[in-house]
Amino acid sequence: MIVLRAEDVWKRYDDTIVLRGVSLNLKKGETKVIMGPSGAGKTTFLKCLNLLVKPDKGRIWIDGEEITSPKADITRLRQKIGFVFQELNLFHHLTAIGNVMIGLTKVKGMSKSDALKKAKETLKRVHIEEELWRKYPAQLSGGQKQRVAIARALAMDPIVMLYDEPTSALDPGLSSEVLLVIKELSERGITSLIVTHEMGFAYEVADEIVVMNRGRIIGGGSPEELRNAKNDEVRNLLNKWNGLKDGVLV
Amino acid sequence: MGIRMTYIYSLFQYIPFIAEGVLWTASLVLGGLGIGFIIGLPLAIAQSFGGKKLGKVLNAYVWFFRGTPLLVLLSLFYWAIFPSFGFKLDPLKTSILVLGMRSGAYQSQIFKDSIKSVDYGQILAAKAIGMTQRKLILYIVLPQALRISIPAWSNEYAVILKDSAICFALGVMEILTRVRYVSTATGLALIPYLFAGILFFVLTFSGTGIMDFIHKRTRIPGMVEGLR
Amino acid sequence: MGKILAFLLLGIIVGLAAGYLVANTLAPTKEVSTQENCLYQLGKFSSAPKEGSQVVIVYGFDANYPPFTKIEPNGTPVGLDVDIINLIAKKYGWKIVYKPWDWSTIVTALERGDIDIIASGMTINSARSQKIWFSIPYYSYVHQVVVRKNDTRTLDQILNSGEYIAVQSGSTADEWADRLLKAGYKFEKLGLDSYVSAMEALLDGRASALITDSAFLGPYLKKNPDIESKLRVVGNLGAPYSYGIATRPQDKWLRDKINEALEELMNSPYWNELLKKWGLG
Repeated sequence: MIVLRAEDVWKRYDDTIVLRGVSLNLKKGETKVIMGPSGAGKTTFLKCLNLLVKPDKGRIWIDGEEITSPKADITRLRQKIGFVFQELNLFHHLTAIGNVMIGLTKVKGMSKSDALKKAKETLKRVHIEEELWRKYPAQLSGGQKQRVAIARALAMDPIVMLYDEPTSALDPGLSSEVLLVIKELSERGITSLIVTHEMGFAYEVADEIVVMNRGRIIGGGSPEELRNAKNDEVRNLLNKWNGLKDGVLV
Repeated sequence: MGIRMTYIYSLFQYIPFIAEGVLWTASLVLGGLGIGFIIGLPLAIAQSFGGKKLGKVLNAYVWFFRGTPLLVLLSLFYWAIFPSFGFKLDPLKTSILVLGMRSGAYQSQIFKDSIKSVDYGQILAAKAIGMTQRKLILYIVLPQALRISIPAWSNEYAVILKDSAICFALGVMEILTRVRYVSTATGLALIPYLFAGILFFVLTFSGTGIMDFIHKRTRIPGMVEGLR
Repeated sequence: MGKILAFLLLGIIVGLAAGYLVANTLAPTKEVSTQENCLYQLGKFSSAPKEGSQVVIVYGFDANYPPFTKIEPNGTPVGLDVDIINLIAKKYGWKIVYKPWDWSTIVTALERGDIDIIASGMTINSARSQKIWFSIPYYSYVHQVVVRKNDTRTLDQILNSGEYIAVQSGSTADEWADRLLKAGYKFEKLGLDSYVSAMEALLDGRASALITDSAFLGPYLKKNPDIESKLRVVGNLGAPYSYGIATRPQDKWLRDKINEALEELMNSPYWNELLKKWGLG
């Protein structure tokens, strides 16, 4: 069952064409990873999926409903998509548990007690323990912040989770706790689309890896297939990354 | 310059007269600030999130009320604008309204700036969890923006306090006017004005002090204040 | 955090409410008519009011000008002008509402109906007479130049000394200073915000001379004999000026009545007593 479908998405900013007809499907329970050099358009594509960026051309369906349609109820559809930002973007003025609860109370209209219960469960799922719940984002480490951000998205019970380079802004030592959580969620069946540079992590967690360059999908496949990549461009890119990325094994 | 004791004594007799001025000054300042807030915050929200055409109209409002001297505004509204609409408010109400409209123009810029300084990622994250624009302004942007505004707003209080003295042009007997009268009546210049200075200082200090207190109490733990 | 915000909002609303309450108790709204100021149109007091109705006159003044107008500690106005108005009101059974008003907008207030008369040491001059009409003059004065007692120079020498001469900013003395400077005399003008401040400037040496008028100087020196011994009048400037009571042009009935009463008062023996009372006789 296809939960997310993107067809021929184009986007340009001023003179630069950032996306040149990108298409992608995501089945329920699947985990796909998008990789590619900087400027390939990965983040832009991800942001098009929940219409944080408005594509110039192309159509996108969430759970069968077309989000790019002019009649679409975008705010309702966005609730079905969990988005985790590279810049974290936790709400500064709310505590960790407040961050998770606000979507539940103000968007879903839950009662405070129900929201509190759900928030606690979700925070536990991302291994954020009780002593951190009343802390403000500024008092948390990068890894803790990002896990709270994941909880914030997860608590809305989305049908798909989108991760935009979730560890790129973190200190290296703090990445693993975040990647662990993402992996656990993926293994528990959460449909996930992850943009990341972490090659080792990608090979571990992905059902399929998609490679983008210069606004296009240039290739992809299961981790095994990629290891023996035939497509030259893909192979060159992968080889280049192997040399550049530190501590990430192939 | 000799200090005449009889005059000093009569100066003390004038203290209730001057103190009554505090009531008038207070209603000018509080009323003006209140109306300014009611005008300024929605204006700032409209300027930040509304369309370009609306923005142009609102800019004209701000430009008019900031650029025109207060004395001119008071006379204009009291003798020309309000009567031409068929009603005539008394000097105090007119002064409060005019001070309020003017403060609204200044406050809108304060709030506009602080709304702008809330980083855009907050808005993106709010949208991502399905918040409508109304909700994200109300629950995410405003709580942060309002707190950021507190120092500038406390400055606005000090400015209105200073401007309140001009309202005597419409016959409002606020503090400075009364002090002038006392100075002339007693023949003393230094002491009454010194008294006025102290009074204004106390009013300014307590007002900004309250603002500082609120600013500290609403501090977000862990965040480092300063240039971002 | 939400609680603090709620309190802040509450505080502002309370402030507004307090302001509104004060406005209504301290200054109840008064219906004031606003009319065109055409001479031939009917004004509030163009003709005699209805028989038996109470005449209420709003009396505007700048309470900053003793001995003509000043404020007592309990807020009541006193002074020569106040006494004159009170006497006129008593004669006709009028009710007077006292309205202190800023000098800079007092003429507009009269024109637009916020006040009905001005009696506040107001000099009759042509500029004002274009807009408001005066009663017969009730007091005359002349501008004078004052120096410290031991200064023996002549008026001419002082006006050409290049030193500071103090005046009250915005007063007729200020205008005189400008006129003299334009005529080529050499001195520096020192503008202070009141007669008293200007006087203090002369006494403590910041200024070498003071331009004032006899209406202020006479009573002031009588009240402060110790200062009188420190100063001397060096000379007069120009011709005498007069004070008048101002009304709107179309309020003919009011003006006639005032003139009638003024003439009667000034011809009575009581007039000299009144002047003496305020140090002007």
